[in-house]
Amino acid sequence: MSALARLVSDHATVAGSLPASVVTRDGRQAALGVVSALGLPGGREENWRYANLRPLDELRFVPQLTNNAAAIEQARSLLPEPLAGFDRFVFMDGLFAAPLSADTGSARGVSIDTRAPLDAAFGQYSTDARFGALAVAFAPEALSITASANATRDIEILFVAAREGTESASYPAVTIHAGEHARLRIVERHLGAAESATFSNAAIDLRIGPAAQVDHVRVQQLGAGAVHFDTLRAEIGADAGYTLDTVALGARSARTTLHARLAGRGARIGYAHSVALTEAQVNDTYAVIEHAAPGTETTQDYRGIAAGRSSVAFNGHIVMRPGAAGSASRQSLRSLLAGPGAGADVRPQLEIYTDDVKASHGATSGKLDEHMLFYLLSRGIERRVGQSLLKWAFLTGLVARIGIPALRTQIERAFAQRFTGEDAAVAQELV
Amino acid sequence: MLKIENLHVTVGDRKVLNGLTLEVPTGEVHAIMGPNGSGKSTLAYALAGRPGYEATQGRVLYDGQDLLAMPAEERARAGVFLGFQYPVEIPGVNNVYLLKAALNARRKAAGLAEIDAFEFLEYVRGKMKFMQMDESFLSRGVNESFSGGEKKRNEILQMLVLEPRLALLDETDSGLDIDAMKIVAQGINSLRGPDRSIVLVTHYQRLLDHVQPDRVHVLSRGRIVHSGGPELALELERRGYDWVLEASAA
Repeated sequence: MSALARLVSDHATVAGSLPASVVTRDGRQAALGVVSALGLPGGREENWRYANLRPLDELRFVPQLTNNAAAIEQARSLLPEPLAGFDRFVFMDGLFAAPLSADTGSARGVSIDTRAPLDAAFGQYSTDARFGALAVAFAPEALSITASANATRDIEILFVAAREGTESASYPAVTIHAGEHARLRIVERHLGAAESATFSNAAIDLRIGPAAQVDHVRVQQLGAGAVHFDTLRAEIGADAGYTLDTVALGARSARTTLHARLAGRGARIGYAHSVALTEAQVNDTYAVIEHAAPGTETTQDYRGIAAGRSSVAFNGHIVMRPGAAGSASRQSLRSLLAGPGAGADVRPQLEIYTDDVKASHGATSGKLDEHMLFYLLSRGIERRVGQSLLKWAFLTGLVARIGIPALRTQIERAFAQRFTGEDAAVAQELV
Repeated sequence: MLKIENLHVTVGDRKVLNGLTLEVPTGEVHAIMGPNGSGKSTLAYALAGRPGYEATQGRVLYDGQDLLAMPAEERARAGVFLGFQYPVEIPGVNNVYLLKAALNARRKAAGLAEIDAFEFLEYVRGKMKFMQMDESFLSRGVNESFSGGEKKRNEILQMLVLEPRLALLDETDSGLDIDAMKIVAQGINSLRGPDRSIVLVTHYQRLLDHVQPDRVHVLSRGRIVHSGGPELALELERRGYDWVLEASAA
């Protein structure tokens, strides 16, 4: 049976138990229909060439519909240190774990609902509708965060792949709406200690109103057997800002499909993605940023380091629409090969339909920077220490801009654990 | 301290130094001047051991040791310091880490124990105060988002912390306003001493208003073509390089 046929069959099994309040039965069927009509992506599709979709063919992931109290308590040990000032909301295998979470409802002008109806437009992405639609078809719950005008709140969302021994599937769905002048800081983490295979297919939809600011950090630290696909869409209004700092360390196979649209005059996005892989991990990102209004700005930075036989890929696609006069984009995409069997592919793509825009890009794949290395050597630093320092600098350079010091430290510790030998000794000193 | 004999250096397939001979005795400050493309920076890089700068002939003795046989890091640990014309930015490695690691590497080579963390901070703070640098620079990435002047000041700070035996300063004055120039010159002068030599590579005379050299050498087409006392720098400033080059060609 193909992966798609299995998903359709699984859906038929669980459809009766999925809440119509989140997505109506017709809505779920329609979403599944999108996937069925288009088929699951394959390696022959240009934008999926580097993703590893094989686990979907090899394994049957069973959607989870209930959590029990014992499992929730068991998951407590997997949770990272809380971040001061952040309200935490925990989902286990895609299901809300109230005992581990702050109160839902409304506080400081921001309302939180874990069973909110999904917007009809949710998951309808121009970039690639399929995995987003799959989340709509299967989502047992949906987290909705709505900030009214001028509201400010810090929110941490944890998705924990906790179930041991079964090949479980989870379908987190999140909607974030920031009203005019609202300021949200969102930390979204995907965690899992389990070695067993899990499949998580997350979809997140952000609407950022005029002059609002959303600072969003995503950290993916799933277990070694995990398969993690996510689809993110952001619509950014006039004079609004969206920073997206993502860090990926875990999962056997991970893929991000991102589509951000700078819809209002003066909208800005700063997207930074850091990836550190080892063994045979695969991490692939396809990010489209669309400038659809005048005076919009993008900065996009990618740092991927591949050790062992792992493989990193990033396709950064910037589109300047005809109405985007006076807009600017800057891309800096770099990958580093740190293993004899490692692979990397970084691709900046520019599509420009208007004059009067500035678009710069740089992409490199390869070795450590010789100028930096010589600088360190000229200060008496041993060559192997210098190389370790530069690997560390390469990886943590983007993390330094995350404005939550405690989270930054947690991420750096996770990076340090990824290093081995001399690299590890240097990393431990720098954390 | 430094004895360069008939040095030929190739960068890629380009011969840049063509039989350069120079001696810098201990305790002296020498200025290397010359027109663009004469080989000034190549000399500094070759002495510091930059990969790609290949010595094809000649030898360089540093305190009697064969400098060219030593890898770059060993030269640094033996007390050779290069102040870069264009210091690189290394985001992710902070200044304080680099300074401490560099100082400890130098101490280890001298048979000394690693410096205590508290003692180190006190020591660095003192040097920063002298260079009129804010302490926040310590926690920033090496040269990260520093202005041109801040980068040069940071080079001199590193030099003061490491207290090298031989300092090679490559166009340290370029890109500095007059106030920054004075601070940098003050840093260089503070390091002058009977056990130390300084080689200033410079295009213009203005740094030499503040750091008076013992000797001035003119480099052209990869060789020293003229040498003199500090007054030579003033003459070069007044008359340019052509008269020296013409005289040496004759």
